Amino acid sequence: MKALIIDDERLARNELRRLLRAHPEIAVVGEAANADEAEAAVERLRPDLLFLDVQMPGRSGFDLLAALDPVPAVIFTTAYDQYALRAFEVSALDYLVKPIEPARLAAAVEKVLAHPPAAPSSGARLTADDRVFVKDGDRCWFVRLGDVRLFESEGNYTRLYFGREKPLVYRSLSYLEDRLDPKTFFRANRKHILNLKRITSIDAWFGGGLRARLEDGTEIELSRRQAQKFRERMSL
Amino acid sequence: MDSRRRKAYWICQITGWSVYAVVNVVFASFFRTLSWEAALPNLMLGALGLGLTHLYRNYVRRKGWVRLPLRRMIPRVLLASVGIALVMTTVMLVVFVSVFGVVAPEEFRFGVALIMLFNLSATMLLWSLIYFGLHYFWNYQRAEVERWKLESAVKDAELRALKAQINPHFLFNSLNSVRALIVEDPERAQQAVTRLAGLLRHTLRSSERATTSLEEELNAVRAYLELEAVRLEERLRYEIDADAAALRAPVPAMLVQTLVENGIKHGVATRTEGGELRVTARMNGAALRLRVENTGTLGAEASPDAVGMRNARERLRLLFGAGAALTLTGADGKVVAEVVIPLEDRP
Repeated sequence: MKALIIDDERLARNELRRLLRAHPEIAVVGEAANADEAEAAVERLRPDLLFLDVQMPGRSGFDLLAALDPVPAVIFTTAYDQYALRAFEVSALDYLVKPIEPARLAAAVEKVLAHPPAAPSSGARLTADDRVFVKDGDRCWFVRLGDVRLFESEGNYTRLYFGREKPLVYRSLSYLEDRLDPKTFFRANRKHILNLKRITSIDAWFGGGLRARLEDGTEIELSRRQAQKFRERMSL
Repeated sequence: MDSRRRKAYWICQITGWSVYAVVNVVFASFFRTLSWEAALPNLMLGALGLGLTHLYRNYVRRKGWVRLPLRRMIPRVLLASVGIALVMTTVMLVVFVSVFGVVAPEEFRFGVALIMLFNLSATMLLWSLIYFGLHYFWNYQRAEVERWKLESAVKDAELRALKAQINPHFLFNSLNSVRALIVEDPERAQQAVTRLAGLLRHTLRSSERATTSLEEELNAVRAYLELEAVRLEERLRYEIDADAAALRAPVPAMLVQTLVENGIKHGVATRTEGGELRVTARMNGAALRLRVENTGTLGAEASPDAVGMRNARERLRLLFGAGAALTLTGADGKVVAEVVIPLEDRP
């Protein structure tokens, strides 16, 4: 498993690298000292796992994750602010406090190896199994795209609907349309992308359009042109 | 008042006055054979007592007698008790004479009235004693709980103030750096441990006394900066420049340290390219002038550290009077914290 170490302190990176020598399953493929370097390194090296310091100069570890899609597995490393991590809606992430105890590191590594993230779909489309990190204000989520039922355009932003949450992310709907796997995600009209697996029923609608009903009861109209495409897609 | 107390009040009232009436009836039966005619006045007396004391209690509550000091409350309670007893005596006598037609010699009737007034006054006093006694007990308990809460809040605040003196983030990051250095450069690891010990010692000592000499404070600041330099490496550039005359001056313990820590936090650690920090201390006539200067803009640190700055100002004022000042200004990509401490009447 390829890992990237992200920490602004050289000594902290060295220390972690040294501790990871006890885990030959983890290959440290690179290091980054801030979010900008890290973003480039993720693009270039496609790591499966990030060891990520939360507090860094410039953008924080959270900001970095929000800029990545898909997000690899993440183990946070932090000196003291483990409280910040409790703000998470999803507890499916691990953190290590510095100085790192070898036993805690071993447990965290084992956990990641037991549940490896879906192999990142190398620059192609994001599938339902890919995870993204969503940050809206102080709240953060790790979301499996398959759990998102609806994407709604709000200018340059897009609102994601999953569970009872609907955070806003800084991505345009057209950008998402290009990135999302069309087998699962369908552009219904100018404002919406639907998760096809979350549709419960489809009705005929005025002027040759269609109306899709999602599992939470939301009704979304498909424009005539998109309805045509939808019919073609569904009729094999 | 909560419903639990209201319930207790009514239980006491009804039981108390019922027992009072029944005891009176039983006593009366020793002198006369028990009959409705003999029992009725006593039952009436009980009902009258219940009614009047209830009005009395409502009045006491409205006027807040329970919270009065004892020397103002006692005469009021005495007067009220006798007053109520007087009303009861009058009512009972009128009832006796006019309704039951009990006839007795004039002088005998007067004697009975006096005895009755005395007895009823005693009864009313007992009632007041129980009522006010219970309230005193409750208030005392509540005051005790309040005092206990306050004490723990004060302790908590003190503890938090002490903890705030060394930033845990810095402490754990430093320990982590030391751990790495042990392998990489054992000699520097040793130095770092010694500096950390010095800084911790200074911090602990500062919680025992309010001021320290500038020299000691700057030694701690130097140890702190050297540790931060291990962590931040080439991103931190710093300089300490102090007049020899200034070194003996007293300063609030950990004040310079706090300002330097703030400077690093906002001006160096959060910037990818790092930054510079400069501490200067000069004697300016009879005043000590301290400057902590760092790269950065003021907006980033003025608001989140408002509390820290206010605390530092308050400490300065308490220790050195109104002439002491702490100002924070930002210009040309620099933030300057300036402290002036007047030292005229100090050795």
